[in-house]
Amino acid sequence: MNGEPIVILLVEDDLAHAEIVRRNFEICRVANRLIHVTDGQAALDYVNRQGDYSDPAKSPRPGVILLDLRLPKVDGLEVLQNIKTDLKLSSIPVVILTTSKAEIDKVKAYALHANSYLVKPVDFTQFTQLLETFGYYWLAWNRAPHEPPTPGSR
Amino acid sequence: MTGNNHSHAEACLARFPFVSAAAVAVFFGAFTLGLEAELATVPQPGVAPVLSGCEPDYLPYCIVTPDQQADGFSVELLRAALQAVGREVVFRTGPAWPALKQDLADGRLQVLPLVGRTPEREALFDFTFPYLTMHGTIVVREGTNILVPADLKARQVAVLQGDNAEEYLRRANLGALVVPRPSFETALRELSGGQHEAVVIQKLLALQLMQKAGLTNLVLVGPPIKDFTQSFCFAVRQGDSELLAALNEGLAIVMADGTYRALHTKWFSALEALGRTKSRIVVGGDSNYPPYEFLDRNGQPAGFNVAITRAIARQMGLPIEIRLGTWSSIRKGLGSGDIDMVQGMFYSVEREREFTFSPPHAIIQHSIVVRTGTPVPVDMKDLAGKSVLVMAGDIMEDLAKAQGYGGQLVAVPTQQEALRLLAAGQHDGALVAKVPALYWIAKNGWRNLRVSELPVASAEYCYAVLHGNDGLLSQVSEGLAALKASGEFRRIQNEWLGPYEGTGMHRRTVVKYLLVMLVPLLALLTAAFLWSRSLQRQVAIRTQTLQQEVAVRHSAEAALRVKEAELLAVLDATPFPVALVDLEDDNIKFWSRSALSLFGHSAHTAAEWYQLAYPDPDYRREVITLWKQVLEKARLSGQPVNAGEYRVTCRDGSVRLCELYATFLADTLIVTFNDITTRKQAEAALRDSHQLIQGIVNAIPVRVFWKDKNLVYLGCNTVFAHDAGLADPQDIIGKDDFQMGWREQAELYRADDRQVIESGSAKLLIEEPQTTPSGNTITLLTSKIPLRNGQGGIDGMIGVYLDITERKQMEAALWAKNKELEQFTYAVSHDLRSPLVTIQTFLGYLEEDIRDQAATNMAKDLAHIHAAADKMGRLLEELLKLSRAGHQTNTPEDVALSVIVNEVLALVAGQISQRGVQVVVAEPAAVLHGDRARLVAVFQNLVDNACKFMGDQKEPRLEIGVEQHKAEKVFFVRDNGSGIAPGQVENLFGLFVRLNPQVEGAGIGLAIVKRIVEVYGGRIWVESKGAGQGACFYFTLPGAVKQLQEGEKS
Repeated sequence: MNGEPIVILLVEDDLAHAEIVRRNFEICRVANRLIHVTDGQAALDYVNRQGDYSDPAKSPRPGVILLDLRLPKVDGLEVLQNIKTDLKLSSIPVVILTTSKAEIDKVKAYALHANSYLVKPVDFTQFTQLLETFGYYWLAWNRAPHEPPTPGSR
Repeated sequence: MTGNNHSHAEACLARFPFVSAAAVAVFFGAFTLGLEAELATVPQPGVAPVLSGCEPDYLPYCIVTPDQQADGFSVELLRAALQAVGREVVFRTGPAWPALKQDLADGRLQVLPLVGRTPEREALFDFTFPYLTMHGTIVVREGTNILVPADLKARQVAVLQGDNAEEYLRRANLGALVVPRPSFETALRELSGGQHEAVVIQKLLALQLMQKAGLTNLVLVGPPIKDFTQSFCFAVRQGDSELLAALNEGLAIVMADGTYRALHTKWFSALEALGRTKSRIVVGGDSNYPPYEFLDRNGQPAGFNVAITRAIARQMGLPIEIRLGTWSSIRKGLGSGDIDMVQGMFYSVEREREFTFSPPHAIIQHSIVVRTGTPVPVDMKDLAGKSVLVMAGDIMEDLAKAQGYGGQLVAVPTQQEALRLLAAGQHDGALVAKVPALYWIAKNGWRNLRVSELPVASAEYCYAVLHGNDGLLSQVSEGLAALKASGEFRRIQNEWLGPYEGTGMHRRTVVKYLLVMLVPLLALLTAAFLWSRSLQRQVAIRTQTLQQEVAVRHSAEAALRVKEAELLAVLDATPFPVALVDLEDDNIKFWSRSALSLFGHSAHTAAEWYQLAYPDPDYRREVITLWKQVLEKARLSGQPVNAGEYRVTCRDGSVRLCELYATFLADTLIVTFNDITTRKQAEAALRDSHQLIQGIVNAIPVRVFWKDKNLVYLGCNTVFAHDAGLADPQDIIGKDDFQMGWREQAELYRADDRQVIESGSAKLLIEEPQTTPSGNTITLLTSKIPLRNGQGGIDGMIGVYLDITERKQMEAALWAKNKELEQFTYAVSHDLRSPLVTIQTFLGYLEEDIRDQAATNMAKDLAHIHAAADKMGRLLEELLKLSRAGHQTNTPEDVALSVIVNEVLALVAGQISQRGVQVVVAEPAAVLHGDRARLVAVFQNLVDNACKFMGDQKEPRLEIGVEQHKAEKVFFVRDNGSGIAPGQVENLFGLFVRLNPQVEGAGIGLAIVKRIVEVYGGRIWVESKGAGQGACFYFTLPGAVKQLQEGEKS
């Protein structure tokens, strides 16, 4: 737990589900910053610091991305592909959080180098445990490199 | 006339051996007519004289008188013979023999009177039967050593050029050097003058010519040349059968009626007088053969034979001289011509080769004479090993030699001498004539001799002449017959032979009484005899002629019988049943074996045949009618006629189908049957089997075709023909794939065909496209196998295929449905779980908030739960709509497009007015037919959708209408709103697809539209130039439009 707290980018069109994620992180006292966008295009703009998110101070690079699949404008898988095929972004862990249990979605997600695939449980307790475990795993135990290699920086 | 009919009849017979009976009848009729004509013997006016020729110097046969008239024996005979059949003859005189011969061969002459018949000449001429047979002889100068023909080898022999003497010399291959001369007279003169070494010539002619020319230094040598027998005939040109027949008839008549004899006497007695200076006929006999012939005490001839000869001479008016001598000298004299005839010679087969014999005037028994004291022999066998006396040259010498006793014989000059020696105790026996032996024994008192009772031989005692002197002999024979008839013969017999017969006395007494009683009767008989003589001659003429004709007829008939038998045997052997019908009486005179075995009937008449072969009366009538027409046709055409097919009922009840042929040959109808039952059955079976296969091939829905090695179509079934756009499967034959609607795929197909034909192995389940005649592309599932012939070779290929276009389309449709279902499941699992997750989670928070008494949070929790539950309810409602969209629930009705649009606008009026959308309806009059509510739903969703996605368009505009695209009506809803990005067009009609989460809706509207459009068999698609460019939704409704069109018609 050194340095700045990790920024979590939540890409979720269902506002209720976004509220669930935020409340869980608050309850768990995960002292991190949660940034929520509601569509795929907004997610891509954020990671690429474009449009509303061009100020790096306001839009810090996320340490992990929680990504829904069914998204307006740009589909979740398309967002995943963009991130994982971009050398500047590909090191950012992307965790899929979706209601879809469809095998095809899992296969496609992992094929596009998703770092994890989580299905939203219908049961309240399970959902809160999942989010708690997620917090410990990605925010406490997982170690990410400090700076991603930037082309031309050496 | 006779000849013509004759030859015509023969020709008929040759051509139509079947009808021999009829032909012979014609022949016979002609013969009868001919005979009547002969008997009339009146020269027929208007018949041209026969043209003949005469040699100048062939005495006594053909000569030319100083006034250039033809004369001679042969000339007169020809004249007489032709006159006897009512024809005349003129002779051309002058040319020499070779020229005459040529004239006859070339047809300038019709007949020659004197032609020796030789094998060489038979090729050129036709000959009558010979009227005279003469022997040739060799003439040499006195003192040469030529005696027999064999001596002529390497000698110069002169002959008349072209004479049959020359032919004989060449034929006999004697090695003589033949010198042809212009005439025999020349040849003989030259011989006499020292040229040549011999002349071969006919004997009489030689004598005549030598006498005429005074050639005293020439002599005749050797026996008569056997192989140079000249049979003189009349000759006609080869093939002139008419004249030949007339000549034969005429010749027969003149030989029978005495003309011949008179002519012979006239010409040959003159010759004899010329050649031998003798005017009498010299009759020879044994001077010591009592009581038959012997010299009496005065040295005068006496005896039975002598008395008979004299009586005959008186009867026939012949000048005779009887000359008796030893038997051997007499025989020699006869051979040399010094004696013309022998009055007593025993007949034997061997002697007949040299002599001609008259009928016997006595039968003389020969016996064995032995001395008393020795056993009387029974037959010749008892003479074995004994020394036996015979008279030299006697018949008994010949006989004993022939029986193998030659070594024991002792020949003595006379029988008397033989008996004298025997009586004197020499030798063991004598073979002698019985009566003369008794005479000598009695006369000389040789009591020690005994004569065997049983004769060892009976010999016929005859007059004999050399061959060629038959004319004389026939006179003698006739005289002899007259003597026998008159009783003179019997009288002489009694006078001379009576004493030597066992019952002589008794017989004489009986004869005496009989004579007394029968004198008046005999007188009467004599008168009758004289009267009947002329009749006899006529009868003789007729008999002879008839005999000849009958002989000809018999040989012709025999030949015919052979021919006919051969022909019937051939017919009998043929496998084709044959019947011969006599047209005169409709009798069936022949059935071949094959016919009898096939039908089992042996009908004798046509009527019987009809009854048996066609038992059904109606069919029988039909057959008879048809058959009559056929016969008429056959008769007119003269050709074999195919009479058609007939159902012939056989004896066993079976019915054979036969093809009949009819042919006419004169009065015979030849009917040939060709049993085609088996062939017809086989054909029918083949046809049935072919039809079965054709039926199967045409009945199956699979396309079938077959091609030859060059990939040219040999055939196909009807469905294939239909696919190819052909009216009839036959039309495919001879075409190839380049001529078909699928020429685009021709190479593809042909590559497979070639592979199958070359490899000999099948190529199965090939999925391939095909362009149909209407230009559509269909999908085929094809299998190809090699077309093998009976020998296992490959003649081409057989192809079968299924049109799997529909299956492919269904597969695609099914695939799409599966995809849709998958999408639905996915959507449901995602979109319905999503609010559920919200509800459950916030219920959890609510429980916590209630526990913590966090009132603010509680309100938020409940709001979230509310919203999620609403969302779920809405989703379920939309899904229900979608489900319902797949089923027609209301009765179809006609509804105008304007009506639908108005209804839609009423429903979405709020949105339209809110956004200020201008709505234009093109072609509102178009009428649809279907579920009104559903059709409204289609337009409502599209209009609603368009209003939602107008974006920031200042002048929103909506156009609804229908356009004609080729054959189909295409409806459209066009807006000028925010449009659709290219990547999103594909998913647009998917379930729960929402382009914009800010825009209200469950993402199910377009799915519903698509569903309804599909129910009506249509499709839906969207065209948009991109975001902000507006969008146009197109869709078709074939189900609704089609029913509309049908409605309009009614």
